[in-house]
Amino acid sequence: MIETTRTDKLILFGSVLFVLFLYYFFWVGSSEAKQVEIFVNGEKRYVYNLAENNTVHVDGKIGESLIEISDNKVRFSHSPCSSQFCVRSGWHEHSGGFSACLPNGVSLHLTGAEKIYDAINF
Amino acid sequence: MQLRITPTIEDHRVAKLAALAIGIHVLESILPSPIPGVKPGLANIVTLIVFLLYGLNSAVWVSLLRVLVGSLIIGTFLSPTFVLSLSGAIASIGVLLIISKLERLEISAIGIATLMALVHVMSQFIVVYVFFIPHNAVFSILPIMMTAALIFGFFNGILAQKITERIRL
Repeated sequence: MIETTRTDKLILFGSVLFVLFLYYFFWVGSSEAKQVEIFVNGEKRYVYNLAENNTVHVDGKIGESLIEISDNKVRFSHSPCSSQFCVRSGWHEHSGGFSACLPNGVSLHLTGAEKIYDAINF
Repeated sequence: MQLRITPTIEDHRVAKLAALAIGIHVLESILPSPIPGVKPGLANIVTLIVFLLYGLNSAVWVSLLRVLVGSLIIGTFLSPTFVLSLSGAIASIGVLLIISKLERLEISAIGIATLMALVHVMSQFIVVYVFFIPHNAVFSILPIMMTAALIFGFFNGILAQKITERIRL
């Protein structure tokens, strides 16, 4: 038989609650992006507020990418590239989110209130 | 003048138990995992059993020896893997330290193991965030890792309880 004391049960209950809270805190509530930065060929070309619905036409290396901003989310709605990975990556809404169309040289960077590094490598 | 070190019975015991923990640690490192970073943490069962049977002092020795020698065998000594392993071990020892101070608390192996596992993973994320990847995106995977820690911690606790019962018989 498994023996648990009252303290054990309290710890287990608290732990489950804590983990559920982590899901809520890191997956649902936080890290909403505030704005999207659109880069063309590695240069920051436009910055848009995600609160305003918009459709942006961006001229890239091989043609025009359509970027749709709606409901605090952003996506590539049309792209001239053959793979269409950027379109299929769908909507992005979290700060730190990223989407790119490499053939056309267009990328989206979602930023929140503060912007910090991607990574530090040793 | 010759320096003589006479190992006590406790030294021998710590050495044997640390060897067992190191063996499990190394075996576990070659286990494939569906999610990178998720490990059952079986080596921590040894730390917990040593704590329950022989006290905090021996548990600290076994735990730190496991991290040090295990990393030397696997070849991760002083690498980020080692730093994470060490921070997890130190955090787990912290849990044991607090529990050993609260003697009136009736808490079994299951509760201790669950707490250890959660604190272990939590400390590793803090270390990753502070030293290696200072980006909020790191925490996106925290809920999954903590879920794994909760489940493995619970089952490791049951294992530790069963093993301790058998040893005491």
